Order: sequence, then C-alpha cells, then structure tokens
Amino acid sequence: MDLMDYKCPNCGGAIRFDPGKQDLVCPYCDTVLSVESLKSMDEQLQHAPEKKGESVSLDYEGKEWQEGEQQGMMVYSCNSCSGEIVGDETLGATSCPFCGNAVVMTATFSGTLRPDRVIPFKLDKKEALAALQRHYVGKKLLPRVFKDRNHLDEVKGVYVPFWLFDVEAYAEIDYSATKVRVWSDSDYDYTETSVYKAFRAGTIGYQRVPVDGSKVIDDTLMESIEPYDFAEAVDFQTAYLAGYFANKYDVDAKQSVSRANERIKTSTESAFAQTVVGYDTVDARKTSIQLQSGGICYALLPVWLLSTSWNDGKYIFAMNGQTGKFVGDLPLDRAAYKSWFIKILGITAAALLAASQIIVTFL
Amino acid sequence: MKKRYQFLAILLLAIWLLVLVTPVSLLAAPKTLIVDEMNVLTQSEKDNVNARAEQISAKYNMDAVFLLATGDYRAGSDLTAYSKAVYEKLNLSQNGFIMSFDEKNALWEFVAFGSAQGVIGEKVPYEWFDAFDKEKTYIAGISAYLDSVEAFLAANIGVPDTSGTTDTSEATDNSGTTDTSGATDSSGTPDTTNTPVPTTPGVRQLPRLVDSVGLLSPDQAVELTAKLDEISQRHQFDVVVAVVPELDEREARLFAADFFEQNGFGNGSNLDGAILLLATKERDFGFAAFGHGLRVFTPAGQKYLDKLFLPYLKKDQYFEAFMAYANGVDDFVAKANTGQPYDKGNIPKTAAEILKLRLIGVLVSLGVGLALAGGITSSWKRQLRSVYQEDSAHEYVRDDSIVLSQKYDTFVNNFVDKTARPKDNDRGGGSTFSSSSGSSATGHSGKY
Repeated sequence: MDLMDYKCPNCGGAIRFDPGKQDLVCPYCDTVLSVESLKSMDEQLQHAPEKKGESVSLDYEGKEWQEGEQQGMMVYSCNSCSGEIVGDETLGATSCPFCGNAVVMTATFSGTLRPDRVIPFKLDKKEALAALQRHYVGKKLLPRVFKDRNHLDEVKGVYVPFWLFDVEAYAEIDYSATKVRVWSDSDYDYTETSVYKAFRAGTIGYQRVPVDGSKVIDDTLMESIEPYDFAEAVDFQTAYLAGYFANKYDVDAKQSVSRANERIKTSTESAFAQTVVGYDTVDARKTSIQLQSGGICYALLPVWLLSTSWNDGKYIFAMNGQTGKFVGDLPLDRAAYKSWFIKILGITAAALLAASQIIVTFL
Repeated sequence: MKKRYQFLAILLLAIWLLVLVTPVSLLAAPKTLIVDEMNVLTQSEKDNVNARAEQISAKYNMDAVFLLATGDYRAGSDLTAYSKAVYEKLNLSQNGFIMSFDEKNALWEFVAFGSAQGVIGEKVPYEWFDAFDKEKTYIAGISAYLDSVEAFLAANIGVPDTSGTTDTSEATDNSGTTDTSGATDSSGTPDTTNTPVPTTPGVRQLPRLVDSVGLLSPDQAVELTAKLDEISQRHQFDVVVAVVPELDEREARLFAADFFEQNGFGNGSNLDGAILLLATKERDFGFAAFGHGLRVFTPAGQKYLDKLFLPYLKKDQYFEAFMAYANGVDDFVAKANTGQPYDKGNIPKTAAEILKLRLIGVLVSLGVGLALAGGITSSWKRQLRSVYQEDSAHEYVRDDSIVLSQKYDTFVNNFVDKTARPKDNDRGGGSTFSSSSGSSATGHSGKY
C-alpha cells in the first residue's frame, strides 16, 4: 500500500491533515479518513518490528524509519539559510518558511531518526492569519503600512523537531539568610540583623523539557511559543505531516541537552529557594546541582511560521500550532514614537505646570 | 537836662562795665573742637570740620574733639595725659571725648569724659580711628571720624528732646530721649547684663534702636528709628531692635527679654512689645515678645517672622533685615488685631518660598511629563517585542516531585546597627519662657 502518497482512496487526490477535525481530509472529494485507519494501513506496511524507545540516556538511539515510510517525502533545501524542510512532493514550496528566501533545490528525503511523538496541528492557516491580525492590534507604534496584508510573503505550517528531556535534578544549596528587626528610641534608629545559614538538599523532577533540534529555526522564537501540552502528543505517524512541512533535526540530543540543563538549573535554584522561608533576605552562596537523564523523546511540534517583508527587512512570526500562542517582533515607527513622546510630554507637562502654578497662587 | 545826661552816662558806663565783667563763656563764642597743632588744615577746612563737630556736640550734648598732635608733648607727658589736658584747656562740657592722633610717634589715644564714658564702648574708638585712618587726607579723615561719631550717637543716644526735659512718655517725645547716665557700665558696653536698670514699666530708657556696634549708617539709623517709633505708637506696641557686641551666659532670647524689660521698653503694664536683638560676636539673634506679643507671635508665627528678616541677616544686610523685621511686626500685630494671629493654617508664603514652589512646580511638571512620556512610549515599544528567551523550566516540573532529603537552618550571628536620629534643629517656632525678672515672654534664639 502506497501510504506515503497519502492518496485519497476515493479520488486519488493528495489528502491533508485537518487540524479542526483532527483527521485526514481529501480537499478534492471531502473524504475524511481517521488517523487510526491510516495507522492500521501503516502497520500493514510494517516489515520489521519497531525498536522500543527504551533509551533514557543521552545516547539517544531512536527509531529508524520503516521501509517505504519515507517514500514520497521530499527535502527542500534553502540556499540562503541552509534550512531543510520535509514535506510531500505535493507541497511545492516556493519560499523558505524560516527566512523567506526561495527554495531552490529538492531532494529525496533520507536519513535521520524517526520521531517518537507528534503533537498534531490543532489550529489551521486561517487561525494563524487571524492571530497575526490580532497581533497587530493595540500596537500604537507599529507602522500602519506594515499591517497591510499584501506584505505577507509566506504562511507555512511546520512540524519542528524538538528534543524532550526528562531529568531528575539532585541539588545541594547553601543559603545565607537574614532576619531584620528595626526599632527606635528618641536618639537612635536600631537595625538588628540576624544571620542564618540554611541548607537544602533534595531532588526535583522535570518532564519533557523541550529544546529546539533545528539549527535554522531561532531557538528563542521557539522558546517564546512554549509551552505545549504534551498530554495531547500522540505516537508519530507520517500521516500527520500531510499538508505541512516538517523540519529534520540537525542538532542532536547531546548538543541540545546543555540548553535544557541551563533552564533546569535555574528552575531548581528557584524552586529550592522557595523552601527557605521566614527570612527577609535569602542569597544562594554555594550551589551544587547534579542532573540525571530520565529519558529523551524526539518529537515534532506544530508551529505556524509566517514571514513578511517590509522596508527590505524580513519579519518572522511563529504561532504555537496547538495553543495558538503567537509571537514575533514588530518594526518600530520611529516618527510615531517621537511624535507620541512629544505629545504626551507636552500635554502632561503643560497640564501639571498650569495646575502647580494655580495651586501655588492660592497657597 | 543835665541830670538826664548824667543818667545816660551812668547807664552806658554800667553797660560797658557789665560787658567787661561778663565771662567769655557766656558770650557764646564758637567752641574749638578740632585742634590742629600740626597745622595741616587750611583755615577754611578747620572752620568746616569744627562747625560740623559743633553741630554734633550740640545735637547730642556731648563734645566731640579731635586733636592732631605734634608730638612735642612727650617731653613731659604721654598722649593720654596730654589729651586730657587739651580737652580741659578747651573749656568744654563735662560730657565729651577727645580722639588724639600723633603721627610723628605713630600713636593715637581716646579719652572720654562724663556720660560719654558710659555710652561709648571699648571697641567703638577703634572703629572711629579706623574711619579716620582709612582716608588719605587729614580733612577727609576727620570728616570720616565725625561721620562715625554721629552714626554711633544717633544709634545709641538718639536726638535729645529739644525741650531739654527727660520726659520719655510717648505723647511728648516722639524722637526718643536717652538717659545714658546709668545705661553703660565701666567697660563701655550697654548695661543689660547683670545689673538691671531700675525702670518703671512704660518709661523707656533707650531709643527703640540701640546699635552698640555701629552696624547702621546715621541715615539708616534715623530712618529705622522713625519706622520703629511710628509702628510702636500706631499699635501701642513697642517694637525694638538692639545690637550688642556679645552675649553673656544667657541665651539670646533671654538676653533680649532682659534688655527689653530692664531698659523700660514695653507698652502699658503688660509691657506690650517685641524685641529683636543681635549679638555680633556670636552671630546670634534673639527674639522676645511680652504682653500682647504672646498672642501676636504664635510659635508658627515666629517661624514665619524669621523667614522675613533672617535671609537679610545672613547676608549682613542689617538695615534691610531690621526694616523687614519692623514691617513684619507691623503686619503681625495688625493680623492679631483682627482676632486671627498668624498661626498654622494661615501663614503666608514668603516671596522666596513662592518662587521656590513655582520652580519646583516647573521641574516636577517636566519630570513627571518626561517620566510619563518615556514610560508610556516605552511600554508601547515593548508591545512590539514578544520574542524572549525562556530561562526557566518551571512549566515542566513534575507535580509534587520536589523532595527535600536534608533541610536545616542554623543561626550564625547577629549584629545591631544604630544611627542617630536627626535632631530637630529647627530653631524657629519659639516658645514661652520667663525673663530674669520672672515676666512671661515668648521668643526664640538662632544663628544668622
């Protein structure tokens, strides 16, 4: 069964995953196919049993693609940012969703590991466009012309590769804490500072701390659309990619774990500091945090990427394809900024000046 | 007919004889008050300064003599004895003084006689000689000396009543009479310290301006005295200004109160009035008010009064300070007479305070405007940024996964810092107190 073509069993057209229905839909004959039915068909293609994702160490082994699973998948490579995106051959990408430049080369998809989990798109392109319009609302210093939709270059639904780390942190932290008591008599103000040493040791667990596994996608942009609800993650099926791009990971788990560790350490320090209570000041003096991997998961997470061009600049927006959280830096209208600054200054200063002079007059 | 001629002849003879036997002093011959042994003045110059000295002597009943000595006296005397001898030889009144200058031996001397001994303090002659010595010519120096003399006498003696009486009541003596016979001690400073002058309430012993140090020019002294007199009479409230060289162990306000009381100031049996006293050595000032003044000058009101004259005092603008004080008291008494003395809630702002408040208003307006404009536009600018690095992993902490295996808190030490509380250095405000005689007064002291 040529599942990778994701041809409609009724009309033979290319079918796509519909975020609203959470099913596969044929845009030509409106046939609806459940993911489960595709999964069963997928299983029939299975020639060898999947390797269990048992590894929880940083030496992530992952799962290999099943035979025929990569068939029909194409890799689009961007000349400008070297980003590689995966999609079926029907996508016909005209520009890179990461940098907006034209995609010039295509090749057959091959290599890399098979994702463990995927969070399917819940929001479609219309909702991404609506979110973009909402993103413009209430921003007084956004250039008016920028709001013109004609500047929107590309809107792509992309499954971005993420490494999800389960980590157990063991922390030993020395704190210096103080209690301050203040009183006065007729001659002096007194401040009594009582100094304490507080020690906390213990463990704290983290699950599915995500780190973007793609070089071409800005890590900060991806962290800005967190969090994802992993309760809705499902086992990966190539069927979910239908109608979307998917980015291959090019940063492996070993390279990504350092970023997860940074975040985990920060949170661990903060969480332990909250157990040192009853003091006026608390300062961590010595911190020792040991991290132990509890498992790594390779997942594809849904992101809507929107690129616009304005004044020779490219602006990339991202929307969490599951929660709808929308981010993206916007250009500043410097003329409006100066104008508003002067207006507010002038009106406020004039009003206060008049009021103050009237008050002084009647004192 | 023959008898008639005889009568006329006898009459003429009698007149001639009378003229012959009449003492020279009764002929009102001009006094010699400027003695130029050095012969450095022209006759015209000598006449002019002598006339001026005569005017001063007549005005204040005190002969003011200046001697330019040749130095020849030294063969048998010293300058002090010689000065005394010259003064006595001039056949002048018992009340007076002589300033002698011996250029040849680089000496000068001052000798006072009679009441002048009590009026002229120790330091005053130095100031007078400085006035003489600063000038380049003798005639200019003597003129400057006479100017200083007149300024001092105007401030400390005042213009005697032309009637020649010692009636000091308000009704007959507008210019203020002076009885200085008991007003100075042997050291030459006004006797306001240890030996109270016997006074009768309401009988003033000194003019309302007593400038023992000579801070004011003669013209200023006259103008201020007139001002104090006018206000005092209009309100029936004695307004007094006194300048003394230094204080004793008493604080300035008590010194001022005693000065006021012991020199007979104060209107009526309650001694209604107020005094501002300066002690130049300590740069202290004391304010005290009696009788009606206790109601006129509330603590808050006294604070306000300070603001009126203190800025001038701090700049050594004494005339302006005293005039501001006089005008202030005038305003205070008038305000109190309406039934609402200056007190908390109705204290007007001074011009300087209003200017300061206006400037603060301008600065605050600009500051708030800048802060508001910056704050609002910055918040609008921040709206354009939504891409931020997430530094924590709080979202991914497993529920109830934090388990503390060790937890202890140990007391290390403690320490106490103490800082002195700011003292209330506000000298203004004033409070009631008792003068040395036990009279109730209100007032305060301060530095200028």
